[in-house]
Amino acid sequence: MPFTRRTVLKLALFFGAIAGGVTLTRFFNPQRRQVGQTVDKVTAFVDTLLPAFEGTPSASDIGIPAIIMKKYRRNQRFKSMLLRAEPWLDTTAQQRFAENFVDLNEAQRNDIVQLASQAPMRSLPYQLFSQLREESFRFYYSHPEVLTHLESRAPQPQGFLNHSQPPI
Amino acid sequence: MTTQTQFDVVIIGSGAGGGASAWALANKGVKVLVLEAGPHYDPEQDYRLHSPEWELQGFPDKLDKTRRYSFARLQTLDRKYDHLRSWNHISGRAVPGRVRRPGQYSHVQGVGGTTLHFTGEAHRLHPDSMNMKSRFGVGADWPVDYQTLEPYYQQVEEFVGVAGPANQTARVRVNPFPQPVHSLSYASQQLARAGQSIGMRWEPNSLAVLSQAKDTRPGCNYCGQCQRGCPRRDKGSVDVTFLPAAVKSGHCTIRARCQVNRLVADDKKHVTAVEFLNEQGVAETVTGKIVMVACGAIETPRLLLNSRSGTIPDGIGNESRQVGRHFMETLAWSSAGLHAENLGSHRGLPADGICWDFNAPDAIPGGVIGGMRLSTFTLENDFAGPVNYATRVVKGWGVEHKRQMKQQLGHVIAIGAIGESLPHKDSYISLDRRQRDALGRPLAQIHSFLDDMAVQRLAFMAQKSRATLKAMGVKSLIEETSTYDIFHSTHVFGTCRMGLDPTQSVVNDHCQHHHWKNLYIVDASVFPSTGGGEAPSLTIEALALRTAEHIHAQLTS
Ligand SMILES: Cc1cc2nc3c(=O)[nH]c(=O)nc-3n(C[C@H](O)[C@H](O)[C@H](O)COP(=O)(O)OP(=O)(O)OC[C@H]3O[C@@H](n4cnc5c(N)ncnc54)[C@H](O)[C@@H]3O)c2cc1C
Ligand code: SF4
Repeated sequence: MPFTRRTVLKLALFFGAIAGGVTLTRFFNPQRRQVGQTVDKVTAFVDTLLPAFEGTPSASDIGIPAIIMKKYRRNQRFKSMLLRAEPWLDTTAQQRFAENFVDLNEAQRNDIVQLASQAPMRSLPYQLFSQLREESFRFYYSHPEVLTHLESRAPQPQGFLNHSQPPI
Repeated sequence: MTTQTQFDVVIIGSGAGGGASAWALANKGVKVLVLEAGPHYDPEQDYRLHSPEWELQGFPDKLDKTRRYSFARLQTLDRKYDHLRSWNHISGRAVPGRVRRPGQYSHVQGVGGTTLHFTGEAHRLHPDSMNMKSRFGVGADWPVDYQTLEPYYQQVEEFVGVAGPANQTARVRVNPFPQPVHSLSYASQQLARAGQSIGMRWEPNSLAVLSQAKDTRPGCNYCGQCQRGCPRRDKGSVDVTFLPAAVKSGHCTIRARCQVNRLVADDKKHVTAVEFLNEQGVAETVTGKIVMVACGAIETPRLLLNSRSGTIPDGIGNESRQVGRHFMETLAWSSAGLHAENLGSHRGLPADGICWDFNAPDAIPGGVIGGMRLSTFTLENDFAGPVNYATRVVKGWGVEHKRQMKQQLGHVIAIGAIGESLPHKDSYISLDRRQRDALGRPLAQIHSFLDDMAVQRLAFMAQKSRATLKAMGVKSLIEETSTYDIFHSTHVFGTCRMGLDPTQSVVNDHCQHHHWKNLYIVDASVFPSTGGGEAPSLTIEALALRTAEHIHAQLTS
């Protein structure tokens, strides 16, 4: 992935979340680098699931990777799934496009996501796909900015007094 | 261990049964103590329906309730019933294997019990379903009839504020519903019309939800989220109806976070004390002239069975070995599909429309005994907002998923059915021999078996649900849920059956134990039959008021 200003910002945000404000310099140790690579892949994956489109934000624009990595730190089963499944992304990307997953273009990433979605249900690629889809969609579609785009709102305090009429 | 001053009545559990009993007794000047294992809920603070993140959480449970029960191995699934299995068009079959999956006994521990979470359907039982043994040779008869319960039904409906239609199928009423009927949502109107086009009668449901303001409670604003807890207090859960009135009487004390562990007895079949862990986790004992158990149909037998001692080896009240037997669960089905038109189906009351056509015990054709009812189910099934649409309705990902999200919101329509559950020798509650809770007490173990008759009833429920959606023009289904392959019960019954024969039942027609005269049971444990899918709380509350009247007479005689 090209190290753009935006990526640095996202990583800074992420590390702020996981380490309570550690500086970016601490990123440059091997363990951190490995976690950093996981963040990169998660970011690329969820941005493929939820790209910016017609004024709606992408998953990473609203901090979804940080939320997923929070779960990664807290939930051992999720962490273990992610660690075991994540190498599949690069292996498959290398086989098909001779590049790592984060370096692929959008169409190529979609291709890999498609493969994961069609894998057998109990396989790691499918688990990776379905769990990241579930997690990212849950948080994305409960973000105020996204709700505004969808013209959806919380049920209270207004309720739906027009409930017996056709929707406008 | 400290011992408290004596109360006239100690009530264990503050749900539908405990709450209604507390009010009925305290209102008559009886000194009542309610011990509730769960905490208080504050509707404004705890039910986060104002937040953009409202959809991320269901009902906000404060205690881990899963550590109170376990499951015995459930039955093997038969290939011939594969069309009755749960599935979703994105995630596939809910149970990939061939063994029925232990899901949940869905309930709440809190002041107000499971009514905090309930939908608010307020149903009187079909009179014919109270005579299942004498009329159909199955289950057991109620020792009280519909006419006897009628005035108590009316009293509860008036106190809680039940809204319903002028004429409700098969229920003779002396007075009309106290609140005007709720109008059907736009989506439910279309479903009702489709049902009518294939010969079914649909009508507005009777609901413990205010259509007009009552006392300090406002009318409903149709947000559709009753199961997440109603922040406005217009839903008639026990915490905003019976319990505050009981406390206001000056004769009722409620103690939350007090887990009762054991009833203590003498050798004359008399409950002498109630042992519990108080709010600080300290052991306490309290005495009452009368003890009422209202912990729900799984926790009530658990408490009685766990109250064993050297002289009472089988548990209190279990001399006929009926405690825990005759467990009846929720037999349920739902089908959901996408409609071509935007119905705005996230709006309105859940279960606002109902079809009672097949509710009588002999209404399902083909010799199936036991009835069922159908109701609108889109919101009960949580097809309520973008999170559920994104994860369960709209397939795929990427740009196309986003486009479809915008197009499909409001298009889902779902129908649900609940059917009669009959007792079976392999359905019962026992104590788990191995697993214990944090205090070292055996968990309740759920044994459940669906026989062929139950599965045929479920098949009929599925058939009618699918036919109604088809008549509505729904071309493709997106999800079906079934209790055939997953045990999931919101209504549980029968484990301390009410009856006239002490060898076949636990309590008499006043919910008083046949042998333990100061022990009463006031929850759905006492139901001899479930009805054809009726929601139970109104009947639990009506029975509780009748029992309270009996107790008051006993105490004052
Ligand atoms: C999602 C859902 C929707 C529902 N919808 C409807 C509906 O629309 N209409 C309807 O009529 N019914 C509905 N029900 C069912 C209804 O809520 C229950 O049938 C009803 O609340 C049962 O009343 P109860 O008094 O038997 O038990 P509960 O209401 O469950 O109350 C039992 C109380 O006892 C307490 N307790 C248990 N053990 C102990 C102990 N050892 N010490 C102290 N306290 C204890 C529990 O914490 C709990 O608060 C629904 C249920 C669910 C889950
Ligand atoms: S639909 Fe009505 S009763 Fe249900 S939660 Fe909303 S306001 Fe309360």
